[in-house]
Amino acid sequence: MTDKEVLLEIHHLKAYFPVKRKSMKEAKKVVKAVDDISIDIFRGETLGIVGESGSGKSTFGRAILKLVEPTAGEILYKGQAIHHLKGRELQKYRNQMQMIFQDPFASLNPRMRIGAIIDEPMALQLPLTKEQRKKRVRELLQKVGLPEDAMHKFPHEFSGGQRQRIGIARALAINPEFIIADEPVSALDVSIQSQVLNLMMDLQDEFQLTYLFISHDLSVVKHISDRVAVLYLGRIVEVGTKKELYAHPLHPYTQALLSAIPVVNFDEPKQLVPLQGELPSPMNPPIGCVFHTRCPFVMEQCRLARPPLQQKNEHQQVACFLYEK
Amino acid sequence: MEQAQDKQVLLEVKHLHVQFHLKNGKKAKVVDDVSFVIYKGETVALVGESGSGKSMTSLSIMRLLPMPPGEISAGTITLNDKNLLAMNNKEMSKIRGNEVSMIFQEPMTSLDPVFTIGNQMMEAIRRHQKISTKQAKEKSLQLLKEVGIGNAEKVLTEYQHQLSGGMRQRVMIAIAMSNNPQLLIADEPTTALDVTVQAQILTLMMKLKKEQQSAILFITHDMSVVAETADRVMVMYAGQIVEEAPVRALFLQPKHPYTVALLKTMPTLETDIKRLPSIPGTVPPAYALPEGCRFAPRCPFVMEHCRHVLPEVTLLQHQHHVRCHLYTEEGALVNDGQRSIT
Repeated sequence: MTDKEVLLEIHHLKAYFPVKRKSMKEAKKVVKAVDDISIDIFRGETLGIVGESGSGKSTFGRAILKLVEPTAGEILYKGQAIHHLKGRELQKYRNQMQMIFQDPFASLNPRMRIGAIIDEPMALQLPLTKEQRKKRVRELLQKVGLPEDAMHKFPHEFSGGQRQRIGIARALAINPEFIIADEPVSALDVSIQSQVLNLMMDLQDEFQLTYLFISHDLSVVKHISDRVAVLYLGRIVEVGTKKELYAHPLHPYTQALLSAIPVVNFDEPKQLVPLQGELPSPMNPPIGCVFHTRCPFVMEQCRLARPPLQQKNEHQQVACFLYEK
Repeated sequence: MEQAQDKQVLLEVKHLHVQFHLKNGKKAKVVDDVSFVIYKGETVALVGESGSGKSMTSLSIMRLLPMPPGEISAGTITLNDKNLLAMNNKEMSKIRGNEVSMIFQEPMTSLDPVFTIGNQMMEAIRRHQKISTKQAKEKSLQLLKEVGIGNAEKVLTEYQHQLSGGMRQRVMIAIAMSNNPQLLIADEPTTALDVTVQAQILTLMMKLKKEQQSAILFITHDMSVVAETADRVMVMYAGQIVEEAPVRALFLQPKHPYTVALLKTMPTLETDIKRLPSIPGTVPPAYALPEGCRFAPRCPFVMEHCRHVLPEVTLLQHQHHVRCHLYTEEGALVNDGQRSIT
């Protein structure tokens, strides 16, 4: 790990959203979508973020891009703090990173031609002439496996998988170093899913990209990631290298998540072990460990204090009192 | 199709053709010559990608197709020896929610937002059973408890927006099971749910199925869910069933190139490879189907014959059917002897 260059350092990131009150008498409430997340992202790696809906994984990605304003915490990009960046400085920071969105139907402007969609970020961010940009659009379309004449067409003429390719071409247009992919394959069919995943991996090799790959699908995350962080109610409960985390999950929540996935195995059929209960409301998260209301190994101290994220072994960090010495 | 002696046929679909009349005058064949049987008490999975016609097949059984523009142009659907396609609306409404009931993918839109959960449950029960409101309420309470809702009395008085996705799907299941249906059609019941909730719902469905001995037609795109739940599997591609087999045979000895590819492309927790194999191209739209085999343009084993002639369904072994020229007599004549694809 030590020989790797840290691209992004995230310290105690918090993103809270105020909730509308019914009357002035009520206490002020906030949804703690991201609650104290600290993690380093290394250059060239794919960090997978998994969690169920409401775990704060999308907000986390957006907060890094400052698409939602973080409530507290610090983000260092190549050692430089970005929290106070504004205007031109912020734009300079943002043109190093791009986002790929989940819904390929909603993330492309239906009234723009594909050429214009891919051209727009370049026109805004890069000092290129119109001709140069046009040439680059062609190159990008070819890179993502679309025919050149696609640039004259509109988004509705493409299938979901093709649209996701267009979204990827747009993200690559300004030569970013870091790409946040928020559920990029969740809306696609399996046969198309693997095409897009392979494309993303090829492009990563070619352009030395760093990915933050957000998904609820643990099998997809396992396939593409180097390291995986598991989120529950806005907090990281476990983070580790892919191999270790999937083979020896430490946190009871990670264990539950993994055991909930159906598998194809007729020789040793696995009994699904459903987690009891429901995800607590992020408006009113449990005191102490956020998972204690559903944890099969809950202890007295879990209800009182919040376990910190600690290095358990060379490859894994976990936030759980079971592993406190 | 052959019949096992000890099994009773519950539903039989024969040569079902469904088409949609498009605004530009074209016809889209969304279901094309689909035949299958569901025996009493078994779980049959219908898998396929979006646009393969799996939901259209199930809506045809329920007679819930939007008509027009949809049209069942040929075929028969018989449930317990009654021809569903010949029934009028009144007769059909006695079947729906009673002998056959359905749960949908999106629990948010399948419950009525202006009635309480209790209201909707009692309506479903009293529609098919002659019991008092009070008895219906008791039955609703008991059903909610069976599907694992703890504070059932409170939930009865609540509206759908007050419940989480998993809770809503539990309520939908409670309503669907309220009249002990012989056939439950579950159309992507867990697709909108998180994995941990999905595990809860699947376990619940299997438990109820056992208790009430209902048959389930499970429609999904997720092969691992199929492996965990189904007895038999039917794979659909571009409006046709391309392979049908008992679950074990389908996963261990898939025959159709599409099934083989589908199983290889899905990332699972076990696979540990750098690149996933993928199927090139996309599913053809229902208004522009290729002339011969539907899968021919994407098939790695395509022969010239496949591009012109649609293969017939071939029975390979007990309960294992496949629609592919690699296994037909006429295909064998033009094939140079390479019959193994796995």
